[in-house]
Amino acid sequence: MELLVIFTILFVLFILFDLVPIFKSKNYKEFWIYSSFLAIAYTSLILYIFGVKIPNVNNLIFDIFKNFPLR
Amino acid sequence: MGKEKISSRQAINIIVSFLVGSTAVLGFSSSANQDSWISLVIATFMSVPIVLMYSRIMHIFPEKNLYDITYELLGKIGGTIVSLIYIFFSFHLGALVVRDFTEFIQIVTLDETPQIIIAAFLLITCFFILKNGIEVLGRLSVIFLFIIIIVVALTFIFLTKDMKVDYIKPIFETNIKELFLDSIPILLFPFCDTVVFLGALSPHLRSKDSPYKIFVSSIFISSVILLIALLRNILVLGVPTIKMLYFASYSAVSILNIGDFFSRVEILLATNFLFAGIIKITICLYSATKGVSKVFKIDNYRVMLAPICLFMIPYSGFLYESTMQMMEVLKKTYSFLLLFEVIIPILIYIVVEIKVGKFKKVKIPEEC
Repeated sequence: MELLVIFTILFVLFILFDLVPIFKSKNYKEFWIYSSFLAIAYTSLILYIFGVKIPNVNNLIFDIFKNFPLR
Repeated sequence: MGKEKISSRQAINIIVSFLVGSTAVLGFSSSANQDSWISLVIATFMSVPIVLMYSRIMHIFPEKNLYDITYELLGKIGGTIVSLIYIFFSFHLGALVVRDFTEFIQIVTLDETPQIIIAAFLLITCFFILKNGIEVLGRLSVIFLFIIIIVVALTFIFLTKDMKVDYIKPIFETNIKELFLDSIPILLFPFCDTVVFLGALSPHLRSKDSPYKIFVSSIFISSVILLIALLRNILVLGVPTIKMLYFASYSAVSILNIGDFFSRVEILLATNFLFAGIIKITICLYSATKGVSKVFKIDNYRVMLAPICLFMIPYSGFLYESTMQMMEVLKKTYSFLLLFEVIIPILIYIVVEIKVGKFKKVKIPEEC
């Protein structure tokens, strides 16, 4: 729970000091792209903090490339 | 803000710090035992043609990064596909280094601290470095590399009394074929990781600086530093002990004890890893951010810096479930590195040479 609070504060700080100026300067395309990435990052963070296992890219890489060992 | 330029010295410092990065502490996988230093030397020379290829691409397109080049050569769709591939590779490599670092810190010092907190501090540092521009990174790398070299040299010198020459014998016990095969993983990690610089470095070099000289010098300088660290580990710990340890360099330096007052200096090694790791993660982040900015047609890369940094925090956490899994996966996914660091760049290089370089078809005038 503490981790969630810490990272929520972190994200709020980034929104206040980074995202709001982008909105104020009327760069709406950048605003929406930034917001989308931020939403993905925050969702991933919540999933990680609560121990939810998601499909891991690294496992996929391992499953594909373990069949082509160099050594 | 004007175009950010760095000197060739700063570029060399960045690349050397990048190469020394996690390798100086993690070491590299080697089955050549006490002859692994020979594999390192072989890998150094094998990496030269590959980095010359990267340099050639940068030389032909001096003011453009990899993403600009692929869009120009392959068009919108081809450029987007290749850019997405290298955005993923740069981001993934950066996350791997973050995870290496957080595992190291948690195992050796902060065992109760969640890794995600360590990752957050690390990535926020990298965020602020990049926010202020690549010139800041260039200036930092000069200081960091100086400290890294001093620490590696001093630990080697002070550990000479604890070294046993018998640990490196018999030299050339491993046959040449095994040594060559063993050098391939070392070639891929860390030397060919410099492919990330194609997405990051080129537009920031001054026109008079040669990318060939920068890359080749960096390879040899980093190889010397890694060789000194590797020989130190072998001569102090011996191969059987190294195989049992996750962080052989850290354990080797922890043995250092002079006059009962100069001891517990392994924290200097952790500092080395911190400095070099920050450089490596920052470059990976920069390359990924540049790629994302290109794909989404955003002029200022700094706009996308924060969300990519913040996404890397949980992404690095999801990569592995344990240190053992991390070491196991690293050993078995060298062919993944081969694809992204050698095969795809060779294909890009061929297209570059055909369309712009040596193999470009020259139109013969009709009157001839």
